Amino acid sequence: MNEVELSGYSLKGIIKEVLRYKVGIFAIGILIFLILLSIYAVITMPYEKTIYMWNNSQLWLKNPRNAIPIWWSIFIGKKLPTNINLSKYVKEKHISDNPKRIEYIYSFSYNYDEFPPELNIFFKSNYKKDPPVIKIYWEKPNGDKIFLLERSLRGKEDTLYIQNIDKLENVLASYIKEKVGYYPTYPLTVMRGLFVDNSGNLSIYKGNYKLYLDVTFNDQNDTINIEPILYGLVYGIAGTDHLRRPLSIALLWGAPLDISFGVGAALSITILHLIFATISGWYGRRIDFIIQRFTEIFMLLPFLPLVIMISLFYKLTIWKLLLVVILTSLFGTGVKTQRALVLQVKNLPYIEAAKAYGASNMRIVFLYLIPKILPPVIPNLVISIPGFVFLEAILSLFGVLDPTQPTWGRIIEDAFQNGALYKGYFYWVLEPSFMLILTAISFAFLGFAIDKIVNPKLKEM
Amino acid sequence: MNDIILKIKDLTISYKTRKGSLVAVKDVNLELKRGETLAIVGESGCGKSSLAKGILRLFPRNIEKVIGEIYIDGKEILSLDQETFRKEVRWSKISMVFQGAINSLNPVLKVVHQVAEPLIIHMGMDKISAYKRAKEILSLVGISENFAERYPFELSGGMKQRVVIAMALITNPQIVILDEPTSALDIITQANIMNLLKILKKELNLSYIFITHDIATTSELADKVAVMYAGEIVEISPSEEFYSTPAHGYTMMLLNSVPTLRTDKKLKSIPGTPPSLINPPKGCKFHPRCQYVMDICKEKEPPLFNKGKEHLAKCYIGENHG
Repeated sequence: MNEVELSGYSLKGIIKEVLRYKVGIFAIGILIFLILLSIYAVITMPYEKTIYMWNNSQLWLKNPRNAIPIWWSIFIGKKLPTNINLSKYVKEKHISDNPKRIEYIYSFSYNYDEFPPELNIFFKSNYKKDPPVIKIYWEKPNGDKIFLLERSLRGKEDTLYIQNIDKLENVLASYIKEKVGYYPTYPLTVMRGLFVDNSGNLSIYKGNYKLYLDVTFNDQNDTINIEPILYGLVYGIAGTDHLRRPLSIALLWGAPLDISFGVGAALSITILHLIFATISGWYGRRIDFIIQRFTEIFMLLPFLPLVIMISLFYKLTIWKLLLVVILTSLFGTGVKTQRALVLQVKNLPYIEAAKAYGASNMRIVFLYLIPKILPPVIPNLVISIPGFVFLEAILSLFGVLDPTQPTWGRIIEDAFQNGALYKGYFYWVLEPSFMLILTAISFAFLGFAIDKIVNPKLKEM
Repeated sequence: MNDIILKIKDLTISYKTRKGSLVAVKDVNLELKRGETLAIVGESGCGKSSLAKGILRLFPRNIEKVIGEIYIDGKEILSLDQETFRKEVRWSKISMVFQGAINSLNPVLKVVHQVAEPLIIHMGMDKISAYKRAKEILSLVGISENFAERYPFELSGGMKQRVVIAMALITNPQIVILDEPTSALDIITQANIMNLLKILKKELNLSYIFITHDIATTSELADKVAVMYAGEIVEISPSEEFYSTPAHGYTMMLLNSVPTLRTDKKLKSIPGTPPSLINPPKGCKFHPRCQYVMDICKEKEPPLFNKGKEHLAKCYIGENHG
């Protein structure tokens, strides 16, 4: 028997049809990218763990604050500093046994075109009675060793925020005066003082630096673990936000969250409209009357203000918002237009035949009417997805949604709250916006391509 | 007694229209024996399809009233409630092949599913065994398994008609109503379908109600022929007598308008149009068009006269009326 190939009404066939159009190829390309991104996010970062990490600011202390993406420096034309974890370059020098005294020497080269923003030293120590005492020295590339400060640790875990210790400014200023002959003419900060050269101008002294940490322990068995970090101005593929969190996490997790929100809302609302429309058109009379009046009431309700109000009263998570969006658009224009289609279809002979061979009302609704009126509904469904993605972003931007979810809208809101554009952190706003627009474009184009397939008249236009 | 499988008693069906009440079927009396084929012939709009759908209780929305009784296997069905009727009678006892098979298949279901639908609905069969049975019955009507997995639009008209017939047979009903099963098909396919129907009837001992406007196809299949005009059965007779000795003026003129193969005759059409069913003419409803019209025809509606063995007609011709 000849196996005749059936024309494609499978998923494969539909995709094949879509790919015949340029917009289709474009849309499918972006969509595949977004889906791969989502899959990657879901596989590499489990949801619960991500949410926990995203909302725990302590975890990100070793990241730079508001760092721009690494690739951004290509456009600036400067070599921008990345994070340098100095503990890699450590050398230990045993000075004496009683009292136990160890000198840790971190030697590293600094060849970037900008000053680093911060230098933090994280201490973790274990002691019996009194905490160890630390002396800190700083050696410039020319070999000058400057004594910075001496202090004993304040607890088992302690952090020195070097750039915040005001008195260091005086130490460094007098060093500069000694070398140059006058106090610096530019506003001096600790970080500038540490890395400035001896020309009298604000320029970076490139070369090998050394950080000395002279630790004096109180007891023989006391130990210490030191992690000095020189923060950079660039970080990762997407940069970091004001809480030092890598934006790449939110950008990655935003894809599955926002797309599933959009698809979930569009799909369930369309299906509900379809079902209500079909029931309304098929049963007619009283049921029709009730559904149509409900539809008119729902069409009159102002959707966005209503959702904003509900979100204000009940701090909504993204999933509760999905429920609210579905409930507030249970009946809508879809019910009206699809009911008109049902009224057309319900008098076709095959429906009468179905009635004759005893199909129940529900069977006729779901197996005979809905599949028949489905094709014109599908492009609308696809096109309505970005609307819901944007809705989530807008509500996040208004600050009425649960702030713990790493969505694209949430990043824009954070950026907005922290004056990203005013401070020049354009990446912070542009990255999530780009993802939002990409999603919107892909679904809109996919919708157009499907529209051409199910409405063949459009092909000629 | 048990031989009579379908009995219709004084069935009247009327519809509500904007112009008034329209009597589509009026005082119809019919009997159908097991294994018998009854042909109902008549012009378009004479109430054939209304009668057929009435037997299945498929009334349109503007139905006004249904009077009379219909017995299937001795059980009255018009008084049954909707759900019992749907479950117990439709398709399990009586099924129907619809006019225009092209349109009576669900475009989104595969053929095999479409045929299996009645089984799934009525017998509560699971999909696999229903499909198996559907494929058996499809091969019985000459549709190979290869085509069973296709959608209706991929089939030719004749094949669709076969599918619809397979669907009507799948629940082993006793009565099959064939509503113009061949009218949309070409002559050769028509002949094929008619042969198929004959074979199926013999094999499955079915009773047919065969509705058509084509008298020629009737002669092949029917044991009994009923002629409908303006909602009434005007003549009912055994097949042999129907062609040789028609008793009603309408039947005579109708037969004159049909070409025959062996005799050379001039065809005559029936002048005029069927009467309005909202305001039917007084007396015999056919009298304005009848070439044998008499005075009494215009005044008094003729009763059913006995014209021979099991041969009844509503016509004054050949009757002694005074």
